[in-house]
Amino acid sequence: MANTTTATAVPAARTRSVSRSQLRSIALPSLLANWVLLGLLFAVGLLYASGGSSARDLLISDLLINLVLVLGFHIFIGNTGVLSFGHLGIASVAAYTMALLAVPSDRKTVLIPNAPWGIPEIELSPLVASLIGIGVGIVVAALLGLVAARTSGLAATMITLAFLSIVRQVAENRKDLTGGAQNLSSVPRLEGWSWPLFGAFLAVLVAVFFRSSKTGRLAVATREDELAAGAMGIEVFTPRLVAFVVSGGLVAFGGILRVQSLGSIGPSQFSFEFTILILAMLVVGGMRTVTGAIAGTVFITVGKEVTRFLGDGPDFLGFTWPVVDGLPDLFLAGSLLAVLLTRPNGLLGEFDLGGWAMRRFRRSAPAAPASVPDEMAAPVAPQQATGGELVTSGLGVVFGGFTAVDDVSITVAPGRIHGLIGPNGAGKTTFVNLLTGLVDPTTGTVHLGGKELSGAPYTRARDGVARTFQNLRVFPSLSVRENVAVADLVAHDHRSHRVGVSVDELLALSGLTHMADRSAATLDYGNQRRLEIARAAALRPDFLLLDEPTSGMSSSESLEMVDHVRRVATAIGAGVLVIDHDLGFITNICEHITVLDQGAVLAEGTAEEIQRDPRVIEAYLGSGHA
Amino acid sequence: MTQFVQNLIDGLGNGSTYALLAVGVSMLFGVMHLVNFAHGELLTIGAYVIYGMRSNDISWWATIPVAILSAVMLSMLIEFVAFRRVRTASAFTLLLTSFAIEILSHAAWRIGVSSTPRRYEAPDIAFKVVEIGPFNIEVWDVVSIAVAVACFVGTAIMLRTTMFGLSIRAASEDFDAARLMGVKANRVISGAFAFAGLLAGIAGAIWLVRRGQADPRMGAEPLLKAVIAAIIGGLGSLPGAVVGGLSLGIAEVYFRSWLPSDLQGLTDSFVFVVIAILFVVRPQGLFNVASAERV
Amino acid sequence: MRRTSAVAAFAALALVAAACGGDDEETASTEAPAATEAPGATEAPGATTAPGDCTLDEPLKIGYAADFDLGGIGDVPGTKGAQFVVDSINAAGGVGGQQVELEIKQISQTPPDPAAAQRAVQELLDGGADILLGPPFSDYGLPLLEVTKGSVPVLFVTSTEITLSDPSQGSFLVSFDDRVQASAAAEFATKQGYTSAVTLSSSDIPYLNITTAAFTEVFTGAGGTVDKDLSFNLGDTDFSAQVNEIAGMDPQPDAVYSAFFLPEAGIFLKQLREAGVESTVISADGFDASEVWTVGADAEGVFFTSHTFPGPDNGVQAFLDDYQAAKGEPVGTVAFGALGADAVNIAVAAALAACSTNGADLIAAMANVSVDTVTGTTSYVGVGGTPKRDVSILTVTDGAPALADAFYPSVVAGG
Repeated sequence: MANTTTATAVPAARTRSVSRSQLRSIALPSLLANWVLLGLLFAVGLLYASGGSSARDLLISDLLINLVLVLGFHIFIGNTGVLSFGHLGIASVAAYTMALLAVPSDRKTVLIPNAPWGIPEIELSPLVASLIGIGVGIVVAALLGLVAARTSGLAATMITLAFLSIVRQVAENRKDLTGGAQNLSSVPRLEGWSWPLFGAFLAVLVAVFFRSSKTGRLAVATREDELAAGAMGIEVFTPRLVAFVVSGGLVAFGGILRVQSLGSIGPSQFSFEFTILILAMLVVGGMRTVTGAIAGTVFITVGKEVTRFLGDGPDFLGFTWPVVDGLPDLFLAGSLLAVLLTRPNGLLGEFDLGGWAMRRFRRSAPAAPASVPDEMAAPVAPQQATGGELVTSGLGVVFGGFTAVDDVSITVAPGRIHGLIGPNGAGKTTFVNLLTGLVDPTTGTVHLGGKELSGAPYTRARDGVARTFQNLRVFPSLSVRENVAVADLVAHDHRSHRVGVSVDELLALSGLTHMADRSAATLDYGNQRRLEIARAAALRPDFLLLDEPTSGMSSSESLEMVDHVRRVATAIGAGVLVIDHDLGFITNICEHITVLDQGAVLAEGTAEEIQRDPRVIEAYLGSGHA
Repeated sequence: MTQFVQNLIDGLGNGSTYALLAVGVSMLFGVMHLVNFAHGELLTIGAYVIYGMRSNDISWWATIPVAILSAVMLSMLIEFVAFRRVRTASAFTLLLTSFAIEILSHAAWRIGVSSTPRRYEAPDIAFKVVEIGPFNIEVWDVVSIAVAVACFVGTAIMLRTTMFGLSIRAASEDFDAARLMGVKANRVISGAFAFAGLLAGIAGAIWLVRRGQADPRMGAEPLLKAVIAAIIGGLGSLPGAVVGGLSLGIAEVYFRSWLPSDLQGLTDSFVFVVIAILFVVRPQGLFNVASAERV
Repeated sequence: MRRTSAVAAFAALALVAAACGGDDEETASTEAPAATEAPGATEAPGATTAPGDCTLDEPLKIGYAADFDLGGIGDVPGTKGAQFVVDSINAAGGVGGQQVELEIKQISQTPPDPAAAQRAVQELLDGGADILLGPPFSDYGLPLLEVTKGSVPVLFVTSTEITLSDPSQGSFLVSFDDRVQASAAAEFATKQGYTSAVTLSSSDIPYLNITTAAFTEVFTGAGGTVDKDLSFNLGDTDFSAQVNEIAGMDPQPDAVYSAFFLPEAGIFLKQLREAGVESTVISADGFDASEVWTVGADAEGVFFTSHTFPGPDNGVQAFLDDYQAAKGEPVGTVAFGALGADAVNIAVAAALAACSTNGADLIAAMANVSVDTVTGTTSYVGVGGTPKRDVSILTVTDGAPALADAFYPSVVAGG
């Protein structure tokens, strides 16, 4: 035992440094590439502005401010996949805070003489007022996030929508404080585009670093598949909350910039309709990447400006255009609809300039380490199984009168491959769900090495039980490497007492090295299966729970899978509980087998014992092969 | 007590319109996980049809069926042109698609007709009041409630007895399974849109007879109410939508009449706070919809 | 003044009055030669030459930043009226020897985008606009002023928002503001012997609550009581709660005051009358624009404050008729089209008074502008950014508006 611990420290340190350099390798090129893009766009803008009306300067700062707002939305929505309507409510609160502090005192005594807290007397510099405004925005985001991040899907969307409406109504009705629906004017105005430009560069920086930060990567995993993320030990709440607060802070900044650029603030400025506009910018370009957000912002802002110009009926291109009322709205709706119907992931989809540049760079780099021939290269030293037994005692669950699992007690020894078999509907998957906490048991307990496993799936994963799913749950739009790396990330924090196998080694072991940069969704069925197992293995579990790993496979593929599971289990030193209805597969792979029928244990023993058991032959083979 | 009952009647009158819309919203959510923000545009087309026919002095008796029919047609058209293409997309994409259609409809009316409102005269029946004991009963409230009840009963019977109703219920439970059992996806969804359009057309007729005006963005507000109602009830649950719609209508009237005058402007906020609390306590809404994810 | 083409005549009068620096309003008697029924016909070259002294170096350029969305209520007829007058003036020879140029740009979008509005305004300025005509509401009006920054005068054509009246920023209203019209409504109510009232307000837009607050202040100041302030939202289609509350009052209030307009006003009126409430309803200038009297019998007897009314002292009827004759369609409302015409006349007057098209000169000249306009006399002399004008109190009789009273309130709320 003592030498295992000393052995642990070394590889753990090694993998951590790998992970950090990996972070740098993702973040820096992406940051630089997107900054270059932004700089180029700005240069084009300056060129355009130099040749005409100073309204063009206004367009540039408007575009840059929109970009801050869109990237703010992107950080939460793009990374978590949860739709929020409430962010502009945060912007509104922040901007009002700034305005109330920064509007000159002599104006406030006219506009809002009865404002509480001595506000009419306060007069801060715009910069200080903005910082306070952003601070207030962050606090509000945190409070709203505490509620919104706890729920998911539509509930979160609706709570944030409620928040937006409440902010607006309060702003309209607290006339003493905000001046009501009357705009509050005399807000110190920004001159020129230097602050918006700074804001846009900062927003790109924040967005890129959030995306490649640990929290960002965990948030993305929950976006890809909440259930699978939970099974990988990823708690949904914290990354979502952090994403919400970071994006809230950025949106607050954007809102303040916008109000300072307009010079006045009113409750209707941060409306539901404006939220939809910002969302349209986000979605049209591609909400998941920074480059997409930039592209969408430019496309919509410029498109609306062009159509506004055409709608006024100018003489343009040797043609007198008709005066059309509402042309920009038509453009917005038309382009949004066209993009959603033809390219639902946005014009750029998953494309990010940073990732693209990095791949180009890597390809042209001369001495890229020749990719190790898969599988051969990975004679990973087998590891000692540690930890205790996985024990269920009297585990059972009743769904509305139907007993799906009935009093199942099994014990899986560490490092052992244990099979759980039974006909369809025997309760195998439900049993796994009970074990991993996806379903609450009616009776019974689960222990791992003497410690009781209870609570949400992610805590059990951190305690050492990693699972795969019967109907494949890889993180579809993440790369193969990132799928495994996310689990590795969790392992660093919660499984560091275990010896890890590096991400690269796991990929090699699974024969996935040459497709490591492809998105998981593009893999074929067998590779996705292997990827899911690799991902579970990266969690350094004490036990791997494999739910029908060969379902849908031919018998030769199943045989390969047998070897694969053995190899992985040995490499990471984990016990395996494998569930299948394929008796051949199970008897091939497992030293010990439990047979489940109608939710209860029918038989238990070695492969030979099971194959000879008449009850099994009748219940299982009888029905299964009839 | 008199006030209480009076408010209840008023609230049920308003709520029945919300409920009719909410049932449609909820049904579409059931079959394709779509929160359809374009649903309110069915009211708008009805209003312009009424404006067009009434300004040519066509009788209300002819106008209303045509208005309802136009809503049904537009609903099916929207499904055919847009939602059919993104049917399997994420709820997020579906939601945004519906927004895009909503904005497109606003812009189309603005460009095609005008951004300034078009007016038609409301018939007197829409505002008749009869006094029964201490209560002022608006005839139109009674009509609204009666029509809504008839629609709900009709919907319930349709869902229970017809093949189409059965397919809708099956599709709401589990679309893939329903498909395996021979339910034709396109037909069910198209049918659901038509039916939701019918209910929206009827709700629109009730509402528009009173409103006396057609303008491009008129559909947004009632639709938001309907979505809130559907959510209160639990998206996908039709009885939930009815309860949600009625309770929203009643809550609005009570908040409006009981809040002190300086807080009355915050009526909607109070409703929203109640809803937000409901969501934190019961994220699935009042009525549970079986949608446990299959693993 | 009767049927002698009012428009050109008023344009001419404007020039006369302005040329005389506004110090002598009697110049109105210098009747211009009869001009055109319609733009295009040119029998009145005298219209421009009459004032004589001023020759402009360059044409007066007027930019109209129009809100055709929510503000379309004012700016749709406003732009028509303005364009019509400009065409008439140009047909009659222009101003200061130059043609007047009018550029209309819409600044409204869905969703409301004040940033895009600011760009449109900037384009008008960069296109050389010397004076701007602005939208009715401050949600676009205030951002607009942030662009002009006092460089050119801005005339808010149909706006009654007090925040848009600020000569130090070069911003002026063309007619009275909300406090004036609400004060007049309160004074009128007091004159009728009313002692109790209920107000109906909304926090959705300032118009709907600044008016009720001012009404309450003046009405209670004159000894009346405002028993309740009920609230509603734009877009409401059922007012049973509010109506039942009024119906349940004992005694019922003498008057109900609200600045509402269609469709809410129509529904409210019908429900109110059906509930048997006989209180007099008093409203504001939005009532005019929305032609609420088409609501039918229930609008009978409703009073509302308005900017003007066709009468012997003004050229409103002639303007309406001329427009109808020239364009083949009515300009829309009684007051707002005429206010658009007024705004152009004021702009022209300022240009001639300053004898310049320089923005700062024009702003400085505004303080001396007193000009006969379509709706009556508009004077900025000694009043700041809001001309002191009589408030017309109109009532609906036999389905059409009729003049009940016209006066400037003796007490104005808030000042």
